[in-house]
Amino acid sequence: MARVTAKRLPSVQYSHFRGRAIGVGTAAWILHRISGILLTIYLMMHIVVIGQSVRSKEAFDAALHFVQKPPFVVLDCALAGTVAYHALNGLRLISFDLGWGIRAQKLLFGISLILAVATFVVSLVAARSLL
Amino acid sequence: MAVVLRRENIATPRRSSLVERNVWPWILQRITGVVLVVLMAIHIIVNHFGNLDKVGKTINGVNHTDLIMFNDVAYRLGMAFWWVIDVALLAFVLFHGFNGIRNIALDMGLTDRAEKAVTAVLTVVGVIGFGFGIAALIAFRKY
Repeated sequence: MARVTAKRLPSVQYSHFRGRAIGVGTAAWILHRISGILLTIYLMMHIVVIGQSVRSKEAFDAALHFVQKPPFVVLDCALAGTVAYHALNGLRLISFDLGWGIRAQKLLFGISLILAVATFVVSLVAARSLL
Repeated sequence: MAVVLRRENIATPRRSSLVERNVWPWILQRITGVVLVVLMAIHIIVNHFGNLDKVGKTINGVNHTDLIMFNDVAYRLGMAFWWVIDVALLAFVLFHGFNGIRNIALDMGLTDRAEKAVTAVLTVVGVIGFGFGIAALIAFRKY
């Protein structure tokens, strides 16, 4: 008996899908992770764009003039929706950690998703002058 | 004869379990998450939606030919309140984002060495991001 503990733990990502249909909880979990990765990638790009201020005032204004073109505005609205989903689902997860609302988990996921899509649509309407 | 292997019989001390050594990251991920809901709401409403009405107007001596103007951000960062909000947002969002990426990596089942490497790389990238973000904020005070 050389080894007491296994060196490598099993993958949580893998065990979630093994032989099972994807339920509401898993769907929420996948979307939370994907949105989290996308938001972190966006965060780095955001710091680089805003960081143009280090070069010069003109460089900053030029960079922000470029990213107000319609394709970027649509992406920004999608970003607002992604943030809304991640925030609402995050609050849903914290409420479960506190033991609240676990029985309403499917309803709470539905509300998070609907409000996120609503945020995207409202953002598009609000920013219509730039489209 | 069965050999009972006891923890005290093992020469090298056992490394704390994955859960044991990630209690603080777990708690901080939730605290920063709740704070970020508030900070992000302020950030998005003021800095993104708040600028939509300014396009084509002159406000606080700033001519808004575009949605977001350097001078407008500089005016806002002349206020201590916005410095606090922006620095807190930068620090919290970097921790939350990179700790989240680390959580995904840990869930893949890493060896101790790989875990240390992932933690080190993400910490370095996060600290560089924070330094660059602070430099970007300071640049607005030069004008």
